[in-house]
Amino acid sequence: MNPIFSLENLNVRFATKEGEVAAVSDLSFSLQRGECLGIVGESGSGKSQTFLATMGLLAANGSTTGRALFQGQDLLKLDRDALNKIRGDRLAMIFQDSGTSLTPHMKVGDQLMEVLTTHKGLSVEAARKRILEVMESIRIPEVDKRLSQYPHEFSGGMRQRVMIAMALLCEPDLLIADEPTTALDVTVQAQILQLFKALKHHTNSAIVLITHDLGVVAGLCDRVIVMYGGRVVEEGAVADIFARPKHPYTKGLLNCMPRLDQDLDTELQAIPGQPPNLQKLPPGCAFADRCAVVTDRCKTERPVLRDYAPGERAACHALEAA
Amino acid sequence: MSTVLKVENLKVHFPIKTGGVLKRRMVPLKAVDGVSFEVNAGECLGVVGESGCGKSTLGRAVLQLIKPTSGRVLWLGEDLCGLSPEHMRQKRRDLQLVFQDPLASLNPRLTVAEIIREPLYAAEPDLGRDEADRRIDEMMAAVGLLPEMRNRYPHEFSGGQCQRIAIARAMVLKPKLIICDEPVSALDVSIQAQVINLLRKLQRDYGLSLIFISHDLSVVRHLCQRVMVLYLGHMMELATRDDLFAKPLHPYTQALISAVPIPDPAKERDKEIIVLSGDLPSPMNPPSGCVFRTRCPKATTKCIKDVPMPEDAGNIHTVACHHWR
Repeated sequence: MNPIFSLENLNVRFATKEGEVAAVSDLSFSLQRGECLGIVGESGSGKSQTFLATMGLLAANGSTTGRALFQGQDLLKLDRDALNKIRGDRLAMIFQDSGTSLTPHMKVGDQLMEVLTTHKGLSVEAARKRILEVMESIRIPEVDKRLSQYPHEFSGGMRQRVMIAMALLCEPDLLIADEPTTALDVTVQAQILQLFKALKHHTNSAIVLITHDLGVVAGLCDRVIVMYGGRVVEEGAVADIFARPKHPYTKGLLNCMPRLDQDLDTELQAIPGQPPNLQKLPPGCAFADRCAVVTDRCKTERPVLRDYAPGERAACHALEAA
Repeated sequence: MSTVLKVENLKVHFPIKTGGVLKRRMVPLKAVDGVSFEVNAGECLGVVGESGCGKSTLGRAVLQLIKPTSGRVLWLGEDLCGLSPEHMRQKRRDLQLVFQDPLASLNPRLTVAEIIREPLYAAEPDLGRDEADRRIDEMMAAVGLLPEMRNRYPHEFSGGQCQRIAIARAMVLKPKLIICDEPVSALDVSIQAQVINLLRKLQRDYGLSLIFISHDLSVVRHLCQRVMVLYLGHMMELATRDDLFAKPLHPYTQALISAVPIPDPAKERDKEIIVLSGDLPSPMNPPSGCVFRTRCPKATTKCIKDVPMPEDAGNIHTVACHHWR
């Protein structure tokens, strides 16, 4: 089956006064229709920049190389007008901070309306019908009243629902959600995650979920990519990664999280040290300084991503030796 | 075990202006509304709840950084409410605070050593420079900062390192109680674990009491011996950690615990999640009776009429709900 979306050797660089920042390096993966892919990593791992780059939303000092194929079209080669036809229509994105992602001086109903009149050329009547339908499906109460309110009159959870509604209006083929629940309280997060689960069942859209929360990935995703220092360090099916993590960083992440199902009074196994400086990435493995199984080779030679089973990749010298 | 802090029926109400020019009136926002608890020596008490539940206000009111509207805060038997500023200042030696945003809570113009020295100057102005330096070095070592970092500025450090500096500043006077307000929420998971382990070590080594304010139940479960659950300024449940997580009695606690994602695909997909409907009501217009009733799956007419009082459920487990039995 042809993937709906694939990245080929994506590189994202930022020019700064202090030198070049390598935000994303040599990133490749593909995504099938109906699949939910989790992208996991800490701040600075490049997980957000990857998709901002493919959506053409990089900061002015950013530059991109490689290919981002969406339904056979290279998004990185499209000009602004061509991109605008796809963005918000077949390709939608939900951002972490719903407070700054909605236009503050426009009624929520009008913002939703705009999506449909622009992309689908619907009449106001038809657009309104579709909006009510979508708002209904994600259970926003008192829709009529809500549509004539401004974003500041909504709570954080409600605004995030509006963002999701907006993304769903045109039934996108690919939905990218960047930390959609990070700013929310756990009980509201549970509501939104339930929504995503329903979405997965009812549509055939591919979903990319960018998050730092492995718990969220465990509940929702089919496949996971773990990023560190702008590169993929491990990729695999959710069941495999959580049960048998290969890369020392993935293992470290799973061991350092306090979790509700673990034995009490065990000391958390913190990963020592700090995340790497993206301006001065080492020649070898970016994780070498913090790794428990580091060797001399790790400091000089960068490990390449190797296949260990169908759909299972990891980049670590220690794995090759074993 | 000896009690160091006893908080009785603490209320913090903020007056808020509402209405237009003609209908202007003051409405109290009840951020904390009648909360009572104790902290024992060497104990870590967790305070959990969602945004707007009053957990940060509670922490500040205990330290008198916000004047409580009523109630008592007994520190070693002495009521802190109503102490003169000078008197309170002496008490602050024993009572310290660590904030959520590590970079914003450090003065950008001071070096690490100067930041940690500030409380020493304030509390012991006569302290010699050598002795001050010795204590600063000791504290930096205790929180895992290297000696060569003394003369660097906060912006040169990462979030986790800044939090270590903030903890060193809080610890340098050897306080008896530290209130930590979401100290690890702004940090990445791998760094979070470092700071949690540090707090555990300091608590053990120095016999510290901690009030650990957090929205993250997994972290609280890991660090605290007892846990208090707040909702809209009211205490819902207070129990030992083992009791609270093994058999939560309050519907809100049950929902909170069920909502925490578990990083294990099989468990996470099988588990029963109690999804609460709606959002937190406005604290300016809280529901009558039980404040949680608008989102509670067990709510009845009794909950609309009567405010549930904290009841003893045995084994120092307190719960405020009409239907816990």
